[in-house]
Amino acid sequence: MRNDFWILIFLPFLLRAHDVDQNIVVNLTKQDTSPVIYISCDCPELRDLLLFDLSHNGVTKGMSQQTEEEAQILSKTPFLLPFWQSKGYDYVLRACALDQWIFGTLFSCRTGKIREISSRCLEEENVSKRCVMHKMSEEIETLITQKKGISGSHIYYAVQSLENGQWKSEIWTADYDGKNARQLTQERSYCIHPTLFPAKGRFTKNKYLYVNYKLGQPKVYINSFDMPKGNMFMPIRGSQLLPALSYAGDMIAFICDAQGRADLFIQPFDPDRGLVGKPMQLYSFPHAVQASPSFRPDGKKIAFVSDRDRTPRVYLIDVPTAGDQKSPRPICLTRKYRENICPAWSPDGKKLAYSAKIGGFRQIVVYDFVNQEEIQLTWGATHKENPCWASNSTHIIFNTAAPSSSELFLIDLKKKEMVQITSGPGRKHYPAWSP
Amino acid sequence: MKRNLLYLIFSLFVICYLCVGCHHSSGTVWEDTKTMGRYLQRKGKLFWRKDVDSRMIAAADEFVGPVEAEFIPLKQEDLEAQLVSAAVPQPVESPGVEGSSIPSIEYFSTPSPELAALFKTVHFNTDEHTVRGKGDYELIDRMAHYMKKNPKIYIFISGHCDERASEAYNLALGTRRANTIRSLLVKKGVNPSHIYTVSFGKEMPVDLGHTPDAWAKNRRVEFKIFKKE
Repeated sequence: MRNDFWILIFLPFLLRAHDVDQNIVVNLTKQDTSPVIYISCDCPELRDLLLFDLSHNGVTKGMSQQTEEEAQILSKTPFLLPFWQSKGYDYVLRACALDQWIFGTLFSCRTGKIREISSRCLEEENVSKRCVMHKMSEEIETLITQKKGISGSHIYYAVQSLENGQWKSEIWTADYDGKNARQLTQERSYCIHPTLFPAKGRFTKNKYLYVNYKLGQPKVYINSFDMPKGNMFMPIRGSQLLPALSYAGDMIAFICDAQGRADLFIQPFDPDRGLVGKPMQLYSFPHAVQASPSFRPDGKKIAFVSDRDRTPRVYLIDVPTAGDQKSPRPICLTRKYRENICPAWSPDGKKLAYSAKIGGFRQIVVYDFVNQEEIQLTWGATHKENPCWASNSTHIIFNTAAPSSSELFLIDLKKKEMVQITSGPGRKHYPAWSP
Repeated sequence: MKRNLLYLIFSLFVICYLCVGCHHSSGTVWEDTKTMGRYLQRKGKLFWRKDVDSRMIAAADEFVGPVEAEFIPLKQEDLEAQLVSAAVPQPVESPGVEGSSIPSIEYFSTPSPELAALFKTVHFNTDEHTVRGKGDYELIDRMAHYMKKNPKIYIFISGHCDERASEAYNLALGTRRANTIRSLLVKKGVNPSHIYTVSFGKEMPVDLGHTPDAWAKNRRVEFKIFKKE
């Protein structure tokens, strides 16, 4: 009894201990030592695109001359090691566009080596001009880092608009920089939350998922990238919301009210054959809602949101396996901030991005599993939510949720600078990045 | 003497706690207190062997489930034992899908002028899913009475939220609001297969303002009606 008394006295201090250092900002990565690339290009469109790509890929810093005169002089200066080293550049890229073809040469100011970049035709069938240019950026990034870049990747998102007094929403796609946007679905209903298949198979080839309100209750739909309308994917009753796919592609997690509450469900899946067996109710709690599941890359755990302890927080739960005798119980992961929502596990499994209310606004926070820290990534008086990771685990796209608009932003974990990548009519939200 | 010392230490702890609490807003302190209260309550129940969490499947056989079952549910005994208002499963037949006798929501209409007073919008408090007061309970009672007298009536209950919480969480919260009204109607004797629910979260506000009044209007459930001929 006496012990219980002291525990009760100390308990508030133990619970508060997480909040004391909430103003400390910890950088996820060490000092920025990215190689600097000087970009010389006679085509303004190609130059701007290369400059954006090579400045926002998280591994290089792109630079270009401010004045035309300087640019003219440097474009004709030969690849002489002492000259370019004195300028402080690590690489010099010379690119040009000629008769619908683009060419490039990369000079290393460290070794003096000259590498030719593959020439590319800008008029490829079914591929946009910008897409071809992004492929050039990706090749340069691979040459420098020996790793696949994100420049050639695409993003998917929902665009909401008010048409004749009725709210409509369709699925759109764009290059990762927000350009080259085009509408994918023509459902003329309310479509949100696009989800891409990470694992390629006969069934999943060229397909994606989204939530469609066409029949009234929201259902998960499957569609091809080249088709305007999709088909219902899972036959389970009730509303189906917020689907998430495991990285191995063998499981789908989603929120469903088949039992009358917003519960967490899973559905076994095969990328070659489609749905396998029946959906399974994974977690429920009286008078609580569950939301936003996200798989750990190894597929053994799911992060999800529950308000079972009043304020929404991120919990982890084991994914059951056949023959498992244990009853999985959720463990609360995030404690530092309140109203923790929209968790998204990074492809490398080391980080979990989520949105948390800090100082009255929802900001993007990253839970670093290596150091077990919760690190604030964004600031400012706008709500930010729905973070999603790029395949390189260093870039996140999220949407703002301002009263009048909702746009997509790109953030690099190193720089922590928000870059707006969309604009124009309609609210853009629920971004997803191609795997 | 010993008792005085104990009081002194206790007082010091209370003062320290209040000082630490002053670093934060009253809202965050209250949130923490509630979280702590719930945590202690659950641990207390576990101590008396009352399991609060729902349990998952425990054996390999349960992975397959009965042949006729649409999905494999959680073991419900624990949940049902403690739920004040047990949740009601959704109708097996989803409206508008192939083979369904009930059409999609396009065929459901907003209540006609004579039914508008009956199927009125129900509003909720912030972050709440429970009905606010006597007036709303009476309204639901009258709705249930009408639906029982008119067995050809089917309704869609749509749950909505205000703009303050996130989109994804609001989708789930709207589901809870719509299902709460559905559970109450079923309790009053309405056929559960005549009531469908949908959540739009904060996607479809009725008031585009950003004031407490606008938020109060947007935290709602609305009704759409279909009469099967």
